[in-house]
Amino acid sequence: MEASSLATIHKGDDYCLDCHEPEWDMADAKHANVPCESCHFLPKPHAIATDKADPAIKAKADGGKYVKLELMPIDKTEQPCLNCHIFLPSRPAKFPQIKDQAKHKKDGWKKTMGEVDTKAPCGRCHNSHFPKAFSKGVA
Amino acid sequence: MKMAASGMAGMLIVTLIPKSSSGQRIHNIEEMKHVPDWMDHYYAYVVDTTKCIGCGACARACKRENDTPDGYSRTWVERYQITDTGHVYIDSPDGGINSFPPKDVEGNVIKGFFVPKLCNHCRNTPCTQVCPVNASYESPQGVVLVDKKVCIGCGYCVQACPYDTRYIDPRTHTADKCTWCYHRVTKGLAPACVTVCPTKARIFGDLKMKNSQVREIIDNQRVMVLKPELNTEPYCFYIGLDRAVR
Repeated sequence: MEASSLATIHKGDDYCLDCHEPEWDMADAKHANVPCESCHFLPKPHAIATDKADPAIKAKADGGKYVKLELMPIDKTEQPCLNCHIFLPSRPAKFPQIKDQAKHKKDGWKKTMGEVDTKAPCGRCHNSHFPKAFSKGVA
Repeated sequence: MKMAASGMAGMLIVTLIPKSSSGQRIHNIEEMKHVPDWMDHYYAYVVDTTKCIGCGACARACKRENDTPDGYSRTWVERYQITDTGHVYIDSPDGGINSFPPKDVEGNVIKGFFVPKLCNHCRNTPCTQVCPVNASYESPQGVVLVDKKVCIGCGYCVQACPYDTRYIDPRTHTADKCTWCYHRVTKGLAPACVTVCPTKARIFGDLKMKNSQVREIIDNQRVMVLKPELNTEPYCFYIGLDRAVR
């Protein structure tokens, strides 16, 4: 098989942005450089054209076909966050890193939520698109 | 080779269109908009070690994109930790594919960094010189490739590569290596590792393009190559390379 004729697997952000309007201002988002595929897994065709109506149908495609939307999976564990943000001395010093996870959660929760839950995932305080922590009372 | 390459371009356009089950095109993906003239390109790769955070996204993307067998990797990330006791600790657990767990070292780390490694796509390349059947070759765009239909799996090239970037694929028993994602770059896309890098530590581009980022970096910044004493003329350049890097 010719090396050039293989199918591409990673599609890049443009593939997603063909259909999805970004919900955030890319210029301001600190995670603007993080590709969609990092957390949303590899894009697969999740907008499937069908001929018949379906409760899941939310939009119409060109040519009168219906489009059935299936949710993309997302990794909501801490691992995708820690891959980049756990403290390692080899990382650039200016890169935001968490030296002590327990302390980070304890201090962070006190500041934002007023109570402590060290078992909560990163997403409890941080929006992946705008990683800055929510302010108090906004969850 | 020129004839074969230009003939392929037409075929690729057809295969790239993602279709629904009913055959209707849904996505108008970016790669459709750029069909490059293959002979007008000469590629180079830049790794900025000052930006790499060792997240391993590149290694994971490479494995998915190229379906490399378990235990083998076309690209990997090395962690360097230099302590105040003078020791240099180098490790790369599973090629950094699952990022890096914290590692205890003797003394305090006074200098640390990550160095992504991949095929250097040398101009004066030892791997193609030793191949007895000419299965390894350099494409007109400066990409070193292996023709798996010709390769006999003798492993000479694996031994000859001074950067340890080649391996024998246990499934096909032929040599395999980083192709700079040739199937992507010939469609106008960046290699998978470059696409997913969150800090833009990996940069790929065309030296023949005037506004190319790699050309600007190589022209204006202080870049280095791995093992320059071997005179292999790599086209994979490094920014911020330390003397501890081998």
